[in-house]
Amino acid sequence: MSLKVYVVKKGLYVALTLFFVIMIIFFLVRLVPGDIAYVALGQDAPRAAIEAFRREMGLDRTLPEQFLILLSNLAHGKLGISGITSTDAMPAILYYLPATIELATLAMTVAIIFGILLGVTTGYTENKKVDNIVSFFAISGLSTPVFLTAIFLQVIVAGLIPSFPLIGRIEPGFSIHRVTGLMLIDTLLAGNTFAFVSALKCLALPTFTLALGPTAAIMRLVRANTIREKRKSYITTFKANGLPNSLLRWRYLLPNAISPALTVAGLQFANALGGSFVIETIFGFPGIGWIGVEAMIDKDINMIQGVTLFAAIFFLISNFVVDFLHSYIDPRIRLKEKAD
Amino acid sequence: MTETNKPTKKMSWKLIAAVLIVIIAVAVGATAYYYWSQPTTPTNVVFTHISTEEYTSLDPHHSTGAGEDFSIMINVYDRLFRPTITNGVETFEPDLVTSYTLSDDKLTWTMQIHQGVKFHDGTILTAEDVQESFDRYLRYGQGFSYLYAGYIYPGNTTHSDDYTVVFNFMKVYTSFPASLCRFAVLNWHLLEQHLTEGSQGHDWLNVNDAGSGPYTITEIRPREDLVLTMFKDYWRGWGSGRRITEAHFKPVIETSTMKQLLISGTADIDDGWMGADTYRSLANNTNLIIERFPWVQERVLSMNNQKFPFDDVHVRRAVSWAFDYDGYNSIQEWDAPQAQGPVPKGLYGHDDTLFVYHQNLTAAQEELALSKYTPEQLSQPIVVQVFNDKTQSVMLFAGESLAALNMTIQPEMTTWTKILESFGQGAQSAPAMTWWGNTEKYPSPDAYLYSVFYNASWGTWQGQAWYNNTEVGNLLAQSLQTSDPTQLLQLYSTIQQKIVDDAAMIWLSNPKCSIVHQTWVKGFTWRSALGEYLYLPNFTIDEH
Repeated sequence: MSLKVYVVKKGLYVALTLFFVIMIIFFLVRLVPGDIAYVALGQDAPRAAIEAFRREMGLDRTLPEQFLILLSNLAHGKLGISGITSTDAMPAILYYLPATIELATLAMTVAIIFGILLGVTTGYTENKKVDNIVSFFAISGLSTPVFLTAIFLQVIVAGLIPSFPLIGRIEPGFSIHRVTGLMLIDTLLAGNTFAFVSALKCLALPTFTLALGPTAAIMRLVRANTIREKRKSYITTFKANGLPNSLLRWRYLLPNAISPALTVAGLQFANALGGSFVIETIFGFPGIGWIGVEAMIDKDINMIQGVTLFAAIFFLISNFVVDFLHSYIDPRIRLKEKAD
Repeated sequence: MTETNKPTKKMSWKLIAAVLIVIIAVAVGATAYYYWSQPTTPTNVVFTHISTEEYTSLDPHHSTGAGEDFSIMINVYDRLFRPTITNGVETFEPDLVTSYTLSDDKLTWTMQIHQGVKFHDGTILTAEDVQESFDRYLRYGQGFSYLYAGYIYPGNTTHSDDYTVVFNFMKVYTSFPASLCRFAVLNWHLLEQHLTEGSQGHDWLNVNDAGSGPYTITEIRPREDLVLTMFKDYWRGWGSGRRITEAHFKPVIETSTMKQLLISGTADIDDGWMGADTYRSLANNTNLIIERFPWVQERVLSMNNQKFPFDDVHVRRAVSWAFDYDGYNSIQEWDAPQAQGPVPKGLYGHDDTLFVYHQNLTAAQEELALSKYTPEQLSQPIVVQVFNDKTQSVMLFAGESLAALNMTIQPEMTTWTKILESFGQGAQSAPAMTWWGNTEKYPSPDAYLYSVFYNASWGTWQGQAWYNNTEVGNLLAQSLQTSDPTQLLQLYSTIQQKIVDDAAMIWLSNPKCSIVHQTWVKGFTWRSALGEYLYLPNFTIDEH
C-alpha cells in the first residue's frame, strides 16, 4: 500500500468516526433532563419568550430534524445558538480556544523536555538513588488527581508568595490588544515586557499542573526504552570502545529511546487540548475547558456539542498524525495493514 | 570518530551550553530588573471583586438579576430611583430624579431629573434619554419590563421639557418608583446609531457602555475579567479618600480558589455566595472582615395547596406546627432568624405582629385530627423533588419533623429546570413541596405577595404554593391601585394575616448574608437588594 492510499484510507476512517461521534454527542446531550430554555432565559422569563427561544433553537422539532439541522449548521461552520453567549457557539469556542492551545502547548513542551531528560537519566541510572527518587515522584505525579495538585499548588504558592497570580491570563493593570488570542504572543507583539512576564506568571501554575501527568507518563516510557536500549549490543560495543557516557547517552541512546514516547506525547497533547476542564476551572483560565464546564452547568446543548466535538477532533487529528508518522517512519506498518 | 576530534566535540558542546546559560541568565536578569524597578502608579487604586458567577449580559435592560449583572449595572448606569434603608427598613430614594408627582387619577407620573448629568462620552443626559430608554426597555421586553405589561406601552412616555419626563399609565401601578430601581437610563443618541445591532441594539450594548454612572467599562475579557474605570465627571462627585479608580470583576468557579485569593490578598471582596463552612473557616483570618447582615430574603418550604395532602389547610397547619424551626435555622442557615410571614423583615410592608409558628407537636396532632384525610392516607410517602445537596438536606430535615406526625417524605433527585417545567404543566404535575429562596430584586412587597399569592402567578416559579383565596386575590389587586402609604400598609397587613392563617407555606428564615472583604476595604454599606452592596463609590481603600 502506497503512503498516499494509506493516508486517504485513514482520512476516511477519521471522517466516519467523526460522524459517529457527532451522532453520539447529539443524543447524549439530549438525554439530560430539564428544559434549556429556562436555563438560558432565567426563571422569570415570560412563557412567550420561552416558546420563542425553543423555536429559535429548533427544540420544537423532532430529534431527526434537529440532527439534520446540526449537520447543516456544521457544514456552514456553525454550531447553533449558545444559550450562555446568545450567539453562535462556534465564534465563542474559537475565542476561547487560543487560551487552551497556549496552555496545552506550554505544558506539553515542559512535559516533553522534562519527561525525556528524566526518562533517559533514570533509565541510565536504573535502580540507583536518582532513579528511585525520580520514579517515586513520577508515580506520585501520575496517581495524584489534578484537582488535588492544583489546590495544593494554590495553597502553597499563596502562602509563600501572596502576590503571585492564582487565576486569569494576565494580572490587573495590563490592557493587551487581542491579536492572536495567545497572551504570550500578544504581549510580545504589544512590546510590553511586563505584560509578557505577567502572562508567564499566570501560566506557571496551570502549566505545571497540566504538565505533571504527561511528564510522568513520558518519563516512564522513555525510562523503559532506555533500559531496553542500553542492554543492546551496539551500546556495549560503544562502551567497549571507550565512548564517554554523556555522548553515549544523549547522542546514541536518546534517539532510539524517545520515538515511542513521541506517540504518547501526541495523544497527551490532544488530551490537554480537549480535557483541561478541571485545571482551567480551578485556575480561572478562560479556555474551552472553562466554557465547557459552564455549558454543562447551564445545559447549553450547542456549546456542549461544540466543545465535545472540538475535543474529539483534536484526538482524531492527533491519532491521524501519529499513525501517519509511524507509517512514514516504519513502512512495515503499511505492509501489515495491507496484509490484514 | 577518532581520538583527536573527541576533545574538540566535547569542548564545543560545553561552549554552546555555557553560551546558552549566559544568554538565559542575562535575559532573565534584565527582565527581572526591568520588571521590579518599574515604579507603580500611586494614583491607581485597584479593587478586585470575585464572584462564583459572571455577568450574563452588559445590556442593563436584559437581566432579572442573574450573576453579577446588577452589581455592574449600578456602577455603569444611573437610575431614576435606587434602594436605600430608612429607619432600618429597605425602601427606595430618588437617584436621577429630583422630584416627582402622581396625578389625581393616579395614572400619570411626572418626574424632574437632575440637570448637568453627563454621559461617559461627555453628552448631557436629558428627559429625552429617559423617555427613549424607557420605551426601549418596553420594546426589548427583557429584564423587569414584564412588570409593566398591560400598564404602560411604548409611546406612552413623553417629555415636556429637557428635564421633565411624563409616564402615562393605562392602569394604576403604585409600585412604579420602586420598580424603577432596576431601570437604567441609556445614552439614547449613542444607542440610536446601533439599534440594528441585535434586538433593540442588544448586541452593541452587550460589549459597549452607554451610561452616565460612576464607572465606565474599559475592558471586557469574557470569563476572565471586566474592568471598570472611574468616571471623573460623575455628577455626584467623588469626595475625599482613596477612591477606587480601577475595579476588576473576576469570575471564579471554584470555592477553594476564591478562598485562596482572599487569603493571599489578591481579591478584595467576594460575592456572598460561598458556603457557610468557607466563611466560618475564614473567620479567624486577621486580614479579613466577614460582614453578616440580615438579608431581605425569604427561605420557605412551599406546600402545593392544590395537591394531596397539602390541599387540606389542617394538614398545612399541622406541618407548620411540627417543623423544627430552631434546628433548621441553626444548622441549615448558620443561626439565621426565623421568618415572620410572607414579607421579609427589613422590607417595607413587613408586619411584625403576624402570628409565627413554633414547633409544638401537641398542637400539630390536634390540627391533624381535623384533617379530611385518614391517618392511613397521610402515612403514604410524599414524593418531593430535590435538585442539589442543599435541597436534599433540607427535605431530609423536614422529613424528620414530619415523622412525628407519621408522615414521610421521599426525596427524588431531579433538576431545577425540570421542576420549572413541571410548574407549566399544572398544579397536579408540580411538586407537592419545594424549598426555595426569594431575594429582593426591587424594594417593594409586591415581589413577595402579588407575585407569589395572586393566582395569576400559578405556573411561574414564584407561584409554587398554588395558593387560591378569592378574598386575598381581591385585596392584592386592590393593593396595586392604592397609593396612600397608611392604607397600603394596612392592606399588606390584612393580606399577610389571611395568608398566614391559611398556612399557605412554611416561612423558614430570613437568612443572613455573609460578605468577606479585606481590612483595607473601607466604607462597606449593606444593601439587601441584589448587587447593591457593591456600589463602588461607597468604598475607600487604605494603603496596604
